[in-house]
Amino acid sequence: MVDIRSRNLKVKVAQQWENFGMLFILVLILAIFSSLDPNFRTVYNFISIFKYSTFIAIGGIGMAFCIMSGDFDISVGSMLAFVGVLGSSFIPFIGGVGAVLSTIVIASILGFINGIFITKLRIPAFITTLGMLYIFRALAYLYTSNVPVYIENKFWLYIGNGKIFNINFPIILMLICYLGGYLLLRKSPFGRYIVAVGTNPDASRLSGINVDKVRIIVFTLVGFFVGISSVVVSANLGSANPGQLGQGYEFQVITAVVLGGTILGGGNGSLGGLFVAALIITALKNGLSLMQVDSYWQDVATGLVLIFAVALNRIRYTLLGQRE
Amino acid sequence: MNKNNKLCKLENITKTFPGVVAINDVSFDVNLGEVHALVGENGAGKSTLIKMLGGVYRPDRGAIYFKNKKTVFTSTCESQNKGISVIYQEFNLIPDLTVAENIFVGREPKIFGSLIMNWKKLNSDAKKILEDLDSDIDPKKYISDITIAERQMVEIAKALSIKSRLIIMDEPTATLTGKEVKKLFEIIKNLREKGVSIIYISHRLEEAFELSDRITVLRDGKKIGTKKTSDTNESEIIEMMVGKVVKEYFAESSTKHEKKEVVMEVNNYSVADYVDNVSFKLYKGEILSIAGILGSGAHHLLRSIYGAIPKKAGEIYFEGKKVNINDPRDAIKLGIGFVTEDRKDEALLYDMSVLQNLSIIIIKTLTFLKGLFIKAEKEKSVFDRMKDRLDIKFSNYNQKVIYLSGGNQQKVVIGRTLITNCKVLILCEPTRGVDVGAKAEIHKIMRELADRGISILMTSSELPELVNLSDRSIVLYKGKVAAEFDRETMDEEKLVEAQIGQTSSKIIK
Repeated sequence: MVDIRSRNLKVKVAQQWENFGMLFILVLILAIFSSLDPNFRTVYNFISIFKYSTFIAIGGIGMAFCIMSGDFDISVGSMLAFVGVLGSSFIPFIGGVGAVLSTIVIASILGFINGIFITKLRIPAFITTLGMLYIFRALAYLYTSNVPVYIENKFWLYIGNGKIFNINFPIILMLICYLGGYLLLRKSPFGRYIVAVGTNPDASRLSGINVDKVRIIVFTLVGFFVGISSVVVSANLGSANPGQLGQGYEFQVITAVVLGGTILGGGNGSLGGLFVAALIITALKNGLSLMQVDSYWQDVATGLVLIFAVALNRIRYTLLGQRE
Repeated sequence: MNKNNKLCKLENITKTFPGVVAINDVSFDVNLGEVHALVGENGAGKSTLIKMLGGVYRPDRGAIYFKNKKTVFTSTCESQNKGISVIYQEFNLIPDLTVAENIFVGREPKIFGSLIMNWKKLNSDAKKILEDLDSDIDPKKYISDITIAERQMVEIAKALSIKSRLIIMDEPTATLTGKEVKKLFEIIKNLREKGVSIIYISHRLEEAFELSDRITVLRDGKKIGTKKTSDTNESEIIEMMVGKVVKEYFAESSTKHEKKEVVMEVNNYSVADYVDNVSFKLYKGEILSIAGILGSGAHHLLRSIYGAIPKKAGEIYFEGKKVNINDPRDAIKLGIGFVTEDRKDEALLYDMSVLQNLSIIIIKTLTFLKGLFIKAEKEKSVFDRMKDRLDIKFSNYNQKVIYLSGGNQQKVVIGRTLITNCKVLILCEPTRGVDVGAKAEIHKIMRELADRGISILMTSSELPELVNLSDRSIVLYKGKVAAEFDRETMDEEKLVEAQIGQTSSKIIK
């Protein structure tokens, strides 16, 4: 006979894992690297982990909405590059502020176009965004003739490097994005629609939700957050390089969303989890880089963490006796 | 008792899920060559219990003995190999394979050192098993091309082909016609004679009484008792099931409805392949049922009126005005509510709370700052009103809707439409998959709504529900109106005849 008390303990751990599991892994990773490498455990390094995590964390918000609503967007990396080179090339003509805003607007429009293809032409999200992955990247090369755009505009650079009260501007920007994302997801009717559509599109339609409209808006939001990320990343690099910008970005972002506890296939998810997951991925890369581990081995580590975290989730479900 | 007589024995089985004890200390046994009926309301634990025999769940505590040996089933495969077949309500057949392939899936006869499928032997073996069952299904047909009753036959054939000693049937007659049920019963009786044991799960008590040697009643995850079928009667079993004496509730229409105000008029309405030129009027405060067997078009008609599926032709007048309904949104705006027959796939938002499931349809109006943010207080108060009105039982606002019983889930779904203050309520199978108690409550709610002036348009495959609840009934047969009855002229027999197309001589208008 199974001891009922030890079972209860297991269930409690399993339930708490949902809330604090990722945080636990983050602390674990920070602790391991801190003990191994004195360069890792500096305030400066911790801040830079925070700062670099914003690349993934901001773009991840849109992707989290997208995955919660039951869709998928793998065009985000190429989109980031395309809007980056396009927007930054506008600087001489409309100035920094105008260029930044138009980058975000163009990205939103591209997301909107994705949404239209997927809902109105009924092309599966995976196919549409796979096609766009090629198209956006190619357009970025064609537009620049494969010559990076160097960014010297102060406003643009400020978004990736500036400081307010000694806090990095990207971090502030990220906090604003998360506040907005949280309000949208948890406090607005639209957030309910996102989860409803992802949970059961048929029931949503019968409940009077305009499912296509919800999906189109979600893809537009994906673009919006990619636009912001594009400015942050290119500002940080000081240039918009059509080949380098956003390379592999789609998988970093999807990894963070899934690691953060949002289940592929739709339904409720967590922005807090996403935020922590973005920190985990960044800290892992940062720690391994400092220890001069080959960048390919860094990718191996990221892959292992993803698989490990999802495996832990499965164990949790088994303990709780739930079906996924 | 003779120990060798027992095929299968469960001892003090307990299984818990978060927040629920699904099975609480249940012991239960099946004799060789016995038909053992397992009855109980929804949520009593029948499904959980058989899933433990089928290797889907493992018990937290207790032991399972099969053929006098203590056994743990860790997978469906293992339980099958040991001689237990479970035929679930939703069958486990592969639609894109043939009947024969499904019967022998994983055990196909091969030639050339098991490289190539021996199609000839596969099909002839399948044919032989099916013939033993007195069935003439073509083994070469694809599962997707055969009827539900035939699929069930294939499941039984599959169970026999692996020489199962224990076959568990979960609500096998739920989707069968009268004739098919009779045939199934014959097969079950034959199997019993051959020494196969059967656990028979059903809502329909008369079936349990016709077939079984013993009946075990579960309630709230506990075993209430096992009776020899010959020593008991239906009312005793019902009492054991519900724990109190319950009479089926069918409220009489309190105000005799007068055919005065037409709320909705449907003219020459057609839905491609299903509904052919149907016209009717819906009066204020009446319960009108559109009856018909599967494929009669009744469901398609109602779905199309709500805008869930497109119409081919026809007009709808709502409160005197011609309206176009192309999407559920249009219907909701007009004041038409809809409850689907498929709660699981088309109504419940599994990942969301009870509160959110109910409010989703009007959440846009429960807001401040120009619809930007939800007013949590308002949402709760709207929910509370509906909760009290429908007596929805739940533990807290954030409880996920999947953890409610079938009856309470259905109330949430009905509440979702009522919250819009609809004038016409379309109900497809309003009490499918809910227990006896909740069924009576839902019937009472429907009558109250009608008395308050809401017009109800419903369809149901349960005859007593049709006969006792509706003020008028229109019967569809092959997409056309076959008969119309009012409360005085309606009885079960006439309804059945009309539904199977045997009324041409005596249409009652």
